[in-house]
Amino acid sequence: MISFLVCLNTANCSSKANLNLDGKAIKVHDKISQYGLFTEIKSESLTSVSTGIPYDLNTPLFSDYTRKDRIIFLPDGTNMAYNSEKEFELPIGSIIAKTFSLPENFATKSGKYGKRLETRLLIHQPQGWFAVSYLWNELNTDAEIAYAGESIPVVYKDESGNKQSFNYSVPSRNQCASCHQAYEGRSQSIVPIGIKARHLNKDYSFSADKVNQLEYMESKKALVGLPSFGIPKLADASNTNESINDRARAYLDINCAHCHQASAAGGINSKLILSYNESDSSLFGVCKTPGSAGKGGGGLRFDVVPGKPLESILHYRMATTDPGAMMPQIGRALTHVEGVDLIYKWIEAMESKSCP
Amino acid sequence: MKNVNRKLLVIGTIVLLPILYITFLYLSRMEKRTDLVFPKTFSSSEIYCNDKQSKKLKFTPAQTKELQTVLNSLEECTTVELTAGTFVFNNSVSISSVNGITLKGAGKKATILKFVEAGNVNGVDVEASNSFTIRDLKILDSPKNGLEIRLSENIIIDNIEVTWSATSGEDMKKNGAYGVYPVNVVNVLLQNTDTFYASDAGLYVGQCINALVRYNRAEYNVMGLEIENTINADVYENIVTNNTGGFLAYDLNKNTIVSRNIRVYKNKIMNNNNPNFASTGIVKTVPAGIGMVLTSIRDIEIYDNEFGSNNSTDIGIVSGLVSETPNFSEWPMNNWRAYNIYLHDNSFGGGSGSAVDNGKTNVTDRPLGVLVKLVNDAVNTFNASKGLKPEPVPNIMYDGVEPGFTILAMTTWFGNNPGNHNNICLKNNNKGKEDPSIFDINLPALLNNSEDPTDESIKASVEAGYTRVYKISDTPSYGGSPNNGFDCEGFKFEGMPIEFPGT
Repeated sequence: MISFLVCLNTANCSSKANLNLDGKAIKVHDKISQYGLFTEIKSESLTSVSTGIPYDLNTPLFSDYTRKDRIIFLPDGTNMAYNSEKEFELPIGSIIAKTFSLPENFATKSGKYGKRLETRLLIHQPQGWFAVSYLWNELNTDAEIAYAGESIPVVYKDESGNKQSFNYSVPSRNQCASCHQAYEGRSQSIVPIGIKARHLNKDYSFSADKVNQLEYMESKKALVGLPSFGIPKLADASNTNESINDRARAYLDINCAHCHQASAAGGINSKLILSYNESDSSLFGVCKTPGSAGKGGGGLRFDVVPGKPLESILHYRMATTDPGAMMPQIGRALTHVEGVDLIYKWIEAMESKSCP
Repeated sequence: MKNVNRKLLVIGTIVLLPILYITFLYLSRMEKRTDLVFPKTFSSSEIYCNDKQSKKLKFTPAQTKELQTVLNSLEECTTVELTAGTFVFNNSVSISSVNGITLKGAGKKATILKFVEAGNVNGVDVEASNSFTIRDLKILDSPKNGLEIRLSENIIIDNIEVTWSATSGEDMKKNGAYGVYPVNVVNVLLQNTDTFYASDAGLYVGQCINALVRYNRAEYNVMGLEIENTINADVYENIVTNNTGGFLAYDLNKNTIVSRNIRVYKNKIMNNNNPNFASTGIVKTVPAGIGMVLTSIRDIEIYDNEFGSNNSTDIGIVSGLVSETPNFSEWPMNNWRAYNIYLHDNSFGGGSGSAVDNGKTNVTDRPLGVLVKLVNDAVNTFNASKGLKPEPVPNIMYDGVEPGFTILAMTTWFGNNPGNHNNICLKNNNKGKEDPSIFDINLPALLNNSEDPTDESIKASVEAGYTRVYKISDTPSYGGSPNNGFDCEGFKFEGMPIEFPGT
């Protein structure tokens, strides 16, 4: 019984994480093909080495309607340590790869994969996570390192046949750090965002037999310390069968809380905390005056006015594409119509009250 | 025995509980202050890199791509030099988590960093990087802020210019918000820097500890120079002119850094009458023609400055309850009061207060301007009945929100609490052409427990003498005169815990 209780404190559970902490630095290559992460690079598909673990998230972060393929690569014989709240601890030498592609039909955001844009790598070096993006060539045959990022014009015909265009932004290395950040005092380190229990706790949808992703990772010996119950789980923001509140909180958590938390710049400067488990409603914006929104507030007075989405700064900044006001600050050029609509409904559903 | 116990219980309940309650209320209203650990020395990039491997790199405008690659893989203690010419960027110039970097150009007119095609970003963007120096260059047309520095230590901003090409008409609204924007920085030296046409504030220092702001110029911005939620600031010999509002010192609610220990001296704060061109936000509510605004701020000494020709008023002193929110629960740091304000030895050149909001008051966009005008008109009407001539708005406009509370409602709104509990101290401000007067609007009396003032409530408050102007020769019942301090004095600048370069 006692050992069972100890086991709730997941890090001390039966099998210790094998974190390969004396791992060596990985050479940063000029081309993505040089890492040996993919056995086959085709125009329409990327096949990873068999040890790569593909995964997805309950609610993904919005990135201009691109499709994202995520894979974790762990050094042989190592594994991740489960954590119920924070990102899992990955061994030195791990790589997380996220590949962004346009949907085949951008007007309807549907179809198979269109142009592959970039693959972002998070490489766990001995001195911490190293972030950089690789830019795919015209033929999708290889991708080249892009320290400074890039702006890629995307042109498409919308459903009415009108020509639309926007610039898709590949982040520079420094811009990677502006989202993948954790502060202690004024020193910043880079951290993964999606590798958390609450995001990963879902049925894995890549293979024929549906199995919970975390259990799958455990069965592959890639994850240790997974408790048998009490694993947090975020809602799927696009699933209309779940409650509006759970969907909205999940959406805000993945899209905003990496910055709007107590130990990151957005939270520190604005005092707006959008983590899924923040229970103080004034901290997640209800009747809260903005911290330092300046003209970003759109002339509105409160972050969230219950029952009145159009009077809420949170909704305004997610809906606008005005550079001085839009949120998130980087990572999108377009408005996520469905996401904004969800936040609209969430605020609308709150018990109406006027803020003083 | 039982009876005694019961008596004790009754007495205890009736007497002790209210006392405990009042004590609790009183204590909970006391201002919390953040204790901070100060570094002992200012470690500029030169000092920081003194015993380390240093690199010097030079780039021409033709090499912006290489430059961007280098900036995104910087090693500490690198000096990045930009030659004369115009560098056109399609992204931010950013520095992240790397110490001892110097970014320098060939002069603030010679090296131009242009961001018109950069997308949704700040021009120069620095985060979590200590001992950073930027000097001798110009930042042009940033979509967002010209230079933003976050969560860093020991920063020197020297001899740069930040400006935008749109200098008139609707296009100005699209200009970036702030010219120079250090936020959450410990030890920042901001000097010899000019900023123009920012659609929010030209020079802004926010949530900083130890800031030296000197020899700068802020012109044609909506707000010229702002100090916000900052501990220890010395602001001197700056020229703040032709903005909508000149200088602003204030605290936002909810921020854990509560401003104190600020000196503002030898600045020229005149002619800030530029029409407000902000597209949105709090800054849009600033009436044109205000020299200086002090709101939810304390322990601030303002001396040897030159004020004049600010059409609305030279100085406005406003409680955060008026400027931001009257809801106490929104002020967890209890920093809504504007108090311990020591204004002395300033010269008032005259010509101020002659046309509130340039005579174009607007109740939807800029209600405060409307209020000042209404109240000043009411005073003039009242004075006319005594055969006195109408006067412009006095040099110092004070909302008169004094702390004071009743047991039931801990608020300033429900009582006119005459006196000078906010320690607004004035002394020797008669060095200029004009002897300043102070306008005690006394908002609580004016509102008379209602949401908004009416013509009647304003008139009543003026006639009762609650809302009134004190001239330099007047003696308020609660002591002193506008020239000798109401009844107080005594702000002493505690000094900076560190020594800045060149001081």
